[in-house]
Amino acid sequence: MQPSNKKYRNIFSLVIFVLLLAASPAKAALTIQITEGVDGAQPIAVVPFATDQLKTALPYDLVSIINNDLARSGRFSPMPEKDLIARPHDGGTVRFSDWRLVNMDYLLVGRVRQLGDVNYEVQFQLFDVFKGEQVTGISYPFVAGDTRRMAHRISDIVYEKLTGQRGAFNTRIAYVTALTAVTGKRQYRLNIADSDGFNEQTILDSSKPLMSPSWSPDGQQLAYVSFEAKRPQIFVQQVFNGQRQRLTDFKGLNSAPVWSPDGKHLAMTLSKSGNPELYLFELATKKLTQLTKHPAIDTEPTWSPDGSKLVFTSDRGGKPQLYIMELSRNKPVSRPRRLTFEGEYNARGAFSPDGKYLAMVTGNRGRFQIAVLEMANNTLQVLTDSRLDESPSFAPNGSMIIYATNRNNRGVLAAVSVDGRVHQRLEVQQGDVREPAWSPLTDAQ
Amino acid sequence: MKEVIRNNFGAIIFSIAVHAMLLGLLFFSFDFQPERKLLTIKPNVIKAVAVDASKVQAELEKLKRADDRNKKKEKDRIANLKREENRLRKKRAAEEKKLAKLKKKRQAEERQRKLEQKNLAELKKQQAALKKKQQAETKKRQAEQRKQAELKKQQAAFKEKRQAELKKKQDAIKKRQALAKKKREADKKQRQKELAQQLAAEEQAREDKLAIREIDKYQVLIRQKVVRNWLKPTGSSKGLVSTVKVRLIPGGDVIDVKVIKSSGNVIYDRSVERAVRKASPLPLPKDPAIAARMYDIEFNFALET
Amino acid sequence: MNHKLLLAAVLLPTVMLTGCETLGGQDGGEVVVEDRGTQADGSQITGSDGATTTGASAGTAFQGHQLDNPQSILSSRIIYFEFDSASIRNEDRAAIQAHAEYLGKNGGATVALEGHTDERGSREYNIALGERRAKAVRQLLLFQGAVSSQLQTVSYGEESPAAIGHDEDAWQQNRRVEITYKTR
Repeated sequence: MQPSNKKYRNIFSLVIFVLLLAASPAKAALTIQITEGVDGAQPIAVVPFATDQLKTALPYDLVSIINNDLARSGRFSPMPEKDLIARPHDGGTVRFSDWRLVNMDYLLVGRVRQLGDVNYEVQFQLFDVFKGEQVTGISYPFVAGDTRRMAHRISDIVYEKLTGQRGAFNTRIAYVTALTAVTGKRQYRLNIADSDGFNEQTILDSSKPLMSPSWSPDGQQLAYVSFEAKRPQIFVQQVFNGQRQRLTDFKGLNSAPVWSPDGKHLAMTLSKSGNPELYLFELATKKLTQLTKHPAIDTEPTWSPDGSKLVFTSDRGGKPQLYIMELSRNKPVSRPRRLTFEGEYNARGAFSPDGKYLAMVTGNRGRFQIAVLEMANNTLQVLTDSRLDESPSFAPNGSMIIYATNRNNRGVLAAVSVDGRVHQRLEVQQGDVREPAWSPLTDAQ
Repeated sequence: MKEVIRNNFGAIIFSIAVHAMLLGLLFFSFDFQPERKLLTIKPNVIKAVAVDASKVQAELEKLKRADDRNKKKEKDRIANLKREENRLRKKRAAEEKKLAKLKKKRQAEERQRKLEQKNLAELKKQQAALKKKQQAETKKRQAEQRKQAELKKQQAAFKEKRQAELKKKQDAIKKRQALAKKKREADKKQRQKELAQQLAAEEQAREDKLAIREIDKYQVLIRQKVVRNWLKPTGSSKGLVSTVKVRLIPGGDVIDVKVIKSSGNVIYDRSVERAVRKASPLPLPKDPAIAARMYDIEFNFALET
Repeated sequence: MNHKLLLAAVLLPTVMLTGCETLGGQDGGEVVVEDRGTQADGSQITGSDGATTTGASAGTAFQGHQLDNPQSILSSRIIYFEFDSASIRNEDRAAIQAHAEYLGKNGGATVALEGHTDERGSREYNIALGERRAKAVRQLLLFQGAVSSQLQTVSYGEESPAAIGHDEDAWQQNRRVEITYKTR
């Protein structure tokens, strides 16, 4: 070997070595796989908004409504007020390191100003404590009478920013309450309340049973079944002015009315042909289209969000199960296909707002529970653990399912998250509460 | 003057002739190359007609011997001539002396004192001249000698050169051998070095193994802490993968968090970022050298359900 | 086929029993009958001398409308059902038969058949089930003498329970069809 070659070889190796040295910091020394986490509510500190400047106090405390909303969703764990380590009202005085010490993920602060006798303005800021930066900051005007609605709107914004899902706090629930007087006489009411149970208003009072409230897509009307004439009839009522109209009074059953997603039709069950069948009722023309023709019971239709499919309960197979039918131009395009094969009894399907899930009542060995079918892969998951659950209805953001159940011999409402993780009990109203229907989200909210 | 020349005209002519002859001979005699001048071997003309080769050869040899002898003779003659020359010179000098003496004798009566002085001076001059001559002779002789010496030197130099070349070759060989030896030694050293390095590497590997065990252990601890602090986003996160690059400082505090591969879902990305921040400070080995290997970590968040 | 035989087998002794009852009243022995008005339940009538006699079974002693006779099978106005079933049980067939006959004989009589279910399962399905039960009774009545115009069916599903309770006891009482005479 020539001496010069050796010299070049050494230089070459040196260069490579140096390059390698230079290259290694760009690649991390370690890679760690994280394949699990914990389930839990995200800790959030909501500091009471500054209201000391107000001439007239607000009728309700915004922050306690927000805390209730966030806690009810099961996704958040608001810090108890007594544990707040500081009370900032805007970002300028926030010390993130302090909030990190008490393990808060988020911080919500705000101020309320009075603009007039009943006019106010709220300004709030939401912070990511560990990142030490603002997530959002907004100000809204509102009037005193809308205080609760404003608080729910703020909850919706916080919920949406932190979970990626739209909030459903600024929504309503319709439900039926059955009261029994001491005389034994029964009274039935169709009620509407805020999603947190406040502001209950009765829109119909009857001595005969009321059933199946169903919201129109614009949230302005409710369809329902009333036995006031000692037989079931379908009515449609304007929620906000009480005006109502009887839609059907056919022989036999007039039941299970459900608004189509485009608001132009009601699917319903009529037995005028001799046995319960599904029909489409066109609101503008009152024209009826028969959708099923089978001696079995066919009832409880539910629309897919795009209006192309109807899922319904039928016992054509012997026992009640869920079937699906495809529609085109309001006519069935195929024979109904069975959807549920697990369990002895499956009824009362309810589509999620995104159409991916179907909630239902599932019965096994005498126990009736709420289950959810994932449409894509046909997996059924039972979400509740009680015995007498019924009437599942999705929240308009698809996050929760509200349903009726029995607790301490009373009919009450409860809610469960779609993945079964979060369970809620709703405020117990007087009487037996049943048949909840969650209003849709409207852009106005 | 004219008188002197007229009186000694013959001697002068003779002297000139001799000098001319001497000069001519000198010209010829300095050319002692092997090249023969037929002029000098003129006298040996072979008149015989019939001759045989051996005889010719013998004759040639004879001629050659004669030639050699002649050469020698010539050499001698040259030397003689030189001597002659010298003698002649001397003679001339003597003659001149004589002349001068005569002059002086004739001028003796007129200038005895001057003659004496002149004689003296002349003697001196003569002596000086003689010395000079002698010096010149010596010089010439020296020159001859030098030239001889030069020749010798040249021969010697040539010899030296050849010897030097030989030596060079030998040296070169020696050098190559020396280089080869050096290389062998160098190789040996290299091997020893490599062996030493290998041993060092093995030692390092052993230390690494220990370090790796430590790192493995702390990797588990870190993972557990991050898992504990990761509040999973609601809803299905199946298939979502988010990679976060984290930089630690001694003590395990997280000083930089960067999502280098997004899952495509903002909420998911934020949740994993929050998880590593909340898990700060991460548990690190006590040995700072080992801990230093864990200052850059990439977390790959991929929920299985 | 078996239906009819069974029916016959059940009805025959009933007819005979009725007959016996009629006769039995006359075999009662010495009976001091005090007219204390109708004692429809056949309770004991204590005489002034302390002797006790037992009145004959109410059948013939009953004075009033058939439909109000508590001893009559016609007083049986509630038909019960098994869970999630609209099949008429054997033990109810007699009653239905009786009502059918009554309706057959009394063309002006009309009944409302109210179908009910227990609280389990989904409400609207239960409305349909209640209707089916009512219709099952209706079918049988039609088959056995009643005329369609005499029969009205309505279903209340689980909305109008007879027993408030959340156990099989209550449920069993709620799974019913109520026969209500609108006109006699």
